[in-house]
Amino acid sequence: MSDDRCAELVARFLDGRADAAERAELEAGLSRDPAWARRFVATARLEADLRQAHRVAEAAPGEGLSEKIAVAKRTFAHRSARHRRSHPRVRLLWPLQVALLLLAVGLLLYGLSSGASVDSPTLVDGAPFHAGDRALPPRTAMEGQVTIAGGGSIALAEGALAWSEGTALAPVLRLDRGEAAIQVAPRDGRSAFVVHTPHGAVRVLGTAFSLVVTDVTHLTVASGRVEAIAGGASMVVGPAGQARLSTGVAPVGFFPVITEAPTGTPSAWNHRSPGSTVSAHGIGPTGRPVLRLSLPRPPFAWVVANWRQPLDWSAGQGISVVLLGTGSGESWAIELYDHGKSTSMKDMGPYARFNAHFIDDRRGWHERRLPFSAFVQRDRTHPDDDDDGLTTARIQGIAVIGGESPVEIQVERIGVYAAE
Amino acid sequence: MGPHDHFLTLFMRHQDDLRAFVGSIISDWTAVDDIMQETAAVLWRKFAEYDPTRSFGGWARGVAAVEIRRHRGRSARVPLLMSPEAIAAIDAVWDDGAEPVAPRLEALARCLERVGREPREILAWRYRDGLELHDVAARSGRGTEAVGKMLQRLREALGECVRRQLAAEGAG
Repeated sequence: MSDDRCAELVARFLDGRADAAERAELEAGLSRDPAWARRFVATARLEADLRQAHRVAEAAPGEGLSEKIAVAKRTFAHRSARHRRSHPRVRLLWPLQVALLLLAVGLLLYGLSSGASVDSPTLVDGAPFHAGDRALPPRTAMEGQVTIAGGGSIALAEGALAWSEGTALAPVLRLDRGEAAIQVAPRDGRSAFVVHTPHGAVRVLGTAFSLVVTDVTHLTVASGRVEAIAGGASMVVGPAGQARLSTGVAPVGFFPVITEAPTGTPSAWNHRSPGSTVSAHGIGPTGRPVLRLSLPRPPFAWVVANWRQPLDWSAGQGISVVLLGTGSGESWAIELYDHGKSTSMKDMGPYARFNAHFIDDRRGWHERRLPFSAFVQRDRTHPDDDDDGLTTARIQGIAVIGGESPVEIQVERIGVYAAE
Repeated sequence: MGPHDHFLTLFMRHQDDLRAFVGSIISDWTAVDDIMQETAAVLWRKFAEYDPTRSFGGWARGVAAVEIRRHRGRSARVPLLMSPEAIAAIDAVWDDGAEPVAPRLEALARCLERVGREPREILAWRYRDGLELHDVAARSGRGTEAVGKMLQRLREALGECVRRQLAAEGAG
């Protein structure tokens, strides 16, 4: 087989793009032809060198790469003078590799022998995080309150499983489990602060946000803007925004609302079509209770939450509903009631009703935004009924309406969003 | 030189290559760190058994290969991407014509300075930030395959550039 095919397979393998057939083809080539194996080794070694070169570039910003390496070497030569005097035959080839090595071997020797010590002055200078005066070099488990090199802090909740990674100039937090509240000082001219979780990554230049890692990662931004990355896609999340990161899936954003509808308990849904029920079902992606709306008798079964006093939603642009899509392809609807006059609603009160449809064409938790302009009046059958459009200053209730099949709709936060 | 110093000398000399070897077989860099620590501990524990007439790098890679299999046994989520036969084939040629790391990195740094802004960014996201290929693709607004091809071409060009630089230094 050709060199080109070998190069292609090696590249695909090392980039994590090779499928099972390509891996098998590569393995067969490696076992059969030493030239393939040499090509693999050369590429793997270059990959490792590229990681090393970029780490050095991070450690000495503001100069060309070759100068950075030279600076790093000079710095190390000065710092390691004492070390070399006590270990005269050791040729120290690379400052950062030695810093990492001294950490690993130092810990190893410390644990295995009494009295063995390793001088590691670069560790404190280069640590990405500190707990009080204690440096937390890469691969250190972290807990409680830690500070971020370059400014900022992380508060880890009890039970959180977190590790330091990166360097002082490019700190990286690996949060494997639990909750972290993070405040990052503006990183003008420096690398973004990065958090890796099992489901994706979050990059930030200066902001405050929190993460909760369970079977997915929940991101909540308090201020500033954060880039959430997962599943080959990224999205920017702004103040009060939230996102959910799942392995292999693009981030799902939940954007802020200016006011929430009083719909968070089963008892709030006080009118139901025959057979329909509402029950609580845990906590949803924005941290609020989930309600399971069971609509077993189609078509167009419904549940309604209406309230005694009208609510003024005139500052908003539309309705935001966080719900669990099923991908059924059915048309569902949200209905709003304003404080008007409608003969068809006389059993519930003096309301006029307006609805907006959407297709259940997505699976999983997501946010639907329905602008008020999309709501159209239904059932204006009597000459005395209002014909003045949706009066958002006097909203009296909301309904969820199913499609033509029995359905169970899970909804979480319902609220009013302002301008996009 | 006592055994600590002797071990330290050998380990430091071979550590980067050992990491490159482990990293070429295991795609999860957190797992690579764990395996490196475990390998270092085993190498130190068994250092009295090391035959100094043989290559330390080859001995260390043999130990690392065992640790990779052990780690895979403990943590099934770490993908083991290679058969033992393929790992042995890689190990057999690993030291063939290997240049020392320091001149290699210096040459690479000079070559990187010739790379344009956009490909340089792609390289930084991949190798500085450690992003997965599909995340690099998402950030760059390109497809994953396109970014993979771009990285392949960049690596080939950089590898050729490094070889030329090292050859020129050797000739000089």
